Amino acid sequence: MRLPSISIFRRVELVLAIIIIMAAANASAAFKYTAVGMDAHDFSGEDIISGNSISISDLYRDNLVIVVFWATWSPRSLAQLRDMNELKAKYADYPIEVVAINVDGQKTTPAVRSKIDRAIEDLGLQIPVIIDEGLEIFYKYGVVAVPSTAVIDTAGIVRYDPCGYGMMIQDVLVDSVKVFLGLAESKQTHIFAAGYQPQKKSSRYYNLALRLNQTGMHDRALENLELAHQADTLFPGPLALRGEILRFQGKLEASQEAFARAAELDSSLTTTWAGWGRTLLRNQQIEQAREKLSRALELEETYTPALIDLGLCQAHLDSIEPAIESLLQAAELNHGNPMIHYYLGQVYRRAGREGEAAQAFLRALSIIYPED
Amino acid sequence: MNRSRLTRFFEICLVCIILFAASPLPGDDTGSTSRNIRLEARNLLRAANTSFGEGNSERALAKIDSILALDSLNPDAFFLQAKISLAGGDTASATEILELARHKAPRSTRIKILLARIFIHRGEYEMPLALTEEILKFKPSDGEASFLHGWGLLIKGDTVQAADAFEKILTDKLAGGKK
Repeated sequence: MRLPSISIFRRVELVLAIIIIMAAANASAAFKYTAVGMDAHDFSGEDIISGNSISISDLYRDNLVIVVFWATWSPRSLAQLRDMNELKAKYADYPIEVVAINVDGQKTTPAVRSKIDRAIEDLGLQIPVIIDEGLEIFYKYGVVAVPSTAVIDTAGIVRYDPCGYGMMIQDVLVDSVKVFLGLAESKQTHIFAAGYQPQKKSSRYYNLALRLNQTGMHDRALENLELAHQADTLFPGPLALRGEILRFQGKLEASQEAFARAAELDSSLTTTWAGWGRTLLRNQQIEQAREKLSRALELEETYTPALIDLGLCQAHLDSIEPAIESLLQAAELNHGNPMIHYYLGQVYRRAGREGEAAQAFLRALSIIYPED
Repeated sequence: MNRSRLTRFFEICLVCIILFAASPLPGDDTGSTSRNIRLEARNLLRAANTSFGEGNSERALAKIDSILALDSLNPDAFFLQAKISLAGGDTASATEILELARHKAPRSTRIKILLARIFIHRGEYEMPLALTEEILKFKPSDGEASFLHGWGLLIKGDTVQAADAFEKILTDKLAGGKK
């Protein structure tokens, strides 16, 4: 069947419509190192269903691409995959692709592979599934919870990056796909901010800094972030990443300053507030940390790093029940993170709930020492 | 004999001894034979693991039989044999294999760990505690053994002790020893 031909003006109109719809949704942040408006990180991998090699940059050239990071232990992931599978089937003859990236864990043991295969079979998946062995793509994007989604337009720009999967996100995804395909009209007439698109040169320095940081070359990363900032002083990404690295190096005051500058440039970035909050927490400025983390969660209520740190703040302030609640919520979103269960165990112990503490610790250790 | 002839005689004797020691006697090639056996066993084990990974348990088991024919004490072969039984849902056979392997290869940590896990999944604690204590006696920092030991304590009902043990492992592993 012939694909519908779309004139360039119509395509621009459709992209703008997507921007409007997606911006109208709550601000969201699935990724630490990728934000709306930035180039999508390129990756490739083998589709375990067809055996074909998939390259994201090849896909988005002609299609709207929805990348879903999922795990077998995440019920919301499975719900989203089911819906995305149906979406793709419904619009099979249109330029839209869905790719599912499995991030069950660092290593895919035979037991894990068996769960992945079972999930594919149970859901009847017809979309490509890539196993992110070693979590390379996971770390490249800076995924913080599962499921996380990146919607990439035909210019390779991330247009929507929700964390989690609820009704609002589902509606936005479906509506925006329909508008993109020319099957529905956009309802808004104004253009809202849709994420800052940095200068290409700045983007390149930023991506290089990201890679250097991930390989432990922090000082070199900082140098490149300075270059990224000079190439585009309105791009908040380099400042936020600078804040992360300086915190890692123990330079907490400088880290706070970097985050403050990033927030000044763009106060809608969840990652900036969450990073700032974490630095304050590390510096034992608990009340200020709580304030920044709460701000992050106002923007994105399922941003796991902020939930974890808020839980820790609450525990510090002896608000044990709220702390447990925050950590339980984080655990539900990111069940595969042993740190969350560890912290939860410690808070349970403080509350004298030894049985629950032991179970939380057991979950953490079962992740660290999985059965083969 | 004069001195130079004596020296010459001893030199010749020394050379003969060296040559004799360096060359293997016919029919007594133990050094290279055991090396060959180890190499062969390793290759067979690799093939067995590949077959198992591909879902071909029968072929894997045939390779394991060949390994054990070469080396009846090979712990890796027993370990894989037990894993194949477990994959087929036969925990009874897996337990039997591992119990036998434990006696044949008493120093194998992997065998004890897998056996401990089987008992833990059955809700039993005595055997896991005994097995993990054996491991920890010689490898006190073995994280997995410590974890399973804690699990055994939890099943036993020593909740606080279990939580203490778990927390210590996690603190050492995740927080660099700092709480």
